[in-house]
Amino acid sequence: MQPNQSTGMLSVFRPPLCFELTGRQFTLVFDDGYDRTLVFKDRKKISFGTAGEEKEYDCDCLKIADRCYFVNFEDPTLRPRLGITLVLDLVQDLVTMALAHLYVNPKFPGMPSIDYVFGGIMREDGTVPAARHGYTTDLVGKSISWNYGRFDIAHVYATEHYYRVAFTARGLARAYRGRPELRQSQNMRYTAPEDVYEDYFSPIKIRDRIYLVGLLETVKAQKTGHGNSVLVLMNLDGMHDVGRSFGSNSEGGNGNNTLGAFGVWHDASDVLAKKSSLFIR
Amino acid sequence: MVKNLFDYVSDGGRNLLFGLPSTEELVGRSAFLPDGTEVRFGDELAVKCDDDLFLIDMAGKILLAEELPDGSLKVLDTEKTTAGASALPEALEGWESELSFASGYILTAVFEDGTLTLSPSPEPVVSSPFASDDEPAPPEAPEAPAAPPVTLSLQAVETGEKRFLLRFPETGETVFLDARRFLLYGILRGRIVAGFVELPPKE
Repeated sequence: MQPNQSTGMLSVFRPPLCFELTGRQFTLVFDDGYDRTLVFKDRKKISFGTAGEEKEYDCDCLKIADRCYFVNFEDPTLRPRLGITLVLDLVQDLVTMALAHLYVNPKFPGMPSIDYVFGGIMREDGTVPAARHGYTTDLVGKSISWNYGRFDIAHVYATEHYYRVAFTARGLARAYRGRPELRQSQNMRYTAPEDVYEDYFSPIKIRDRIYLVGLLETVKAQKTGHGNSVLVLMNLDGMHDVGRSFGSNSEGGNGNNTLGAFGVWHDASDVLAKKSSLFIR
Repeated sequence: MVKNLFDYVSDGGRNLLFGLPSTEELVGRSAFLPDGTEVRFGDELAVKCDDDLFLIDMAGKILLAEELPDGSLKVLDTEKTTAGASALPEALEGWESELSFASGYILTAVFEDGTLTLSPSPEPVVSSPFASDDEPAPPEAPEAPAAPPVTLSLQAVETGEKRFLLRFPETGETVFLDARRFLLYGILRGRIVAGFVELPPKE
């Protein structure tokens, strides 16, 4: 048997969509000074925006833990592109919004960027929590190899601002199976001592054992003209993540695909010992 | 000797099992089993196996519920559904693969003659990050002796295209296999577990 070929490279292990918020409405109070209303109109449609500026979107909602949701959407007609992701934490009544941009960089249009806006979810009594999800150093020095079904990659959380990549022997074997051309791909290597792929990293703690992690491919975009913003919400109790990859590919296509993976802690001491090849610190 | 799925895939509880949260989509809904019994869903443990498919632990009885296009639920008692299965579905018979329900613990799996035989995979899961096809990483030294193989009686039925209910009659454990996406879902010992199946990483 072979996996369904119609699913994306990173989407094979994505869990089923979550529809349990259908019919619910939230007022999200963000620290950028704008309150936004979020309405789950049906299983695939939401309404989102500031008062009077609400728009309808198709969305994917994924659940990673008890009352913790990853909501991803984009207006496909908008240029430059703007990918919006909300992490709704209904245990603490907190929300984090990630705004991913593409085609805004004049020199490297295919280079993604991302901004984060923190906020609270208005409770029934009209109050909003004062606490926020926040940047964390919890993951620094650790690494997890993520199995996306047809693709494995180890994310090495090198510092609180930079991640590195590595590949396990098992992951390489899986990737090469039926795709031998990948053996020639520089993206699949970074094996030499002086060779390290490093790029921007945004680790945000949602609650204990649950983290939102943003990984940008800006270095790749400078070299190849295209790259992705990968955003994952991971639950370390179940070593599972959900997320999305937003960006462009070598064929000029635009992607914004939700994903999922199973993780295993990875010994990345060798990769961590490498000297940064790009960033001065 | 371990003779149940949960203990084997968790290596006696030492492994961190892959988990997913329980879904609340069925709360307040009701449906009828094929024998006419009405079931009403509350806060039972339930895992989504697909956008329209649920595995539910109803007081120890594992149900499979499918949401039909008209919004109604078709519910099966997995024990009764698999009870008459004397042979494995053709797609499973003779299938050799690997499966994992726990982080870093991959098992060789052989479906044959109404059984599933599991044994720890000899392939190292975690290896040097420098590993490449030119420089294969040495296997890590095992911390404990590998578990001996186990053979579990298995009743399996195909409930949809490349969707299988796997029931282990000796222990009552039930797992759903979505072979289209190579995913496994189960409710074992009162907890939701997820996993994956794959072909051996050999060309």
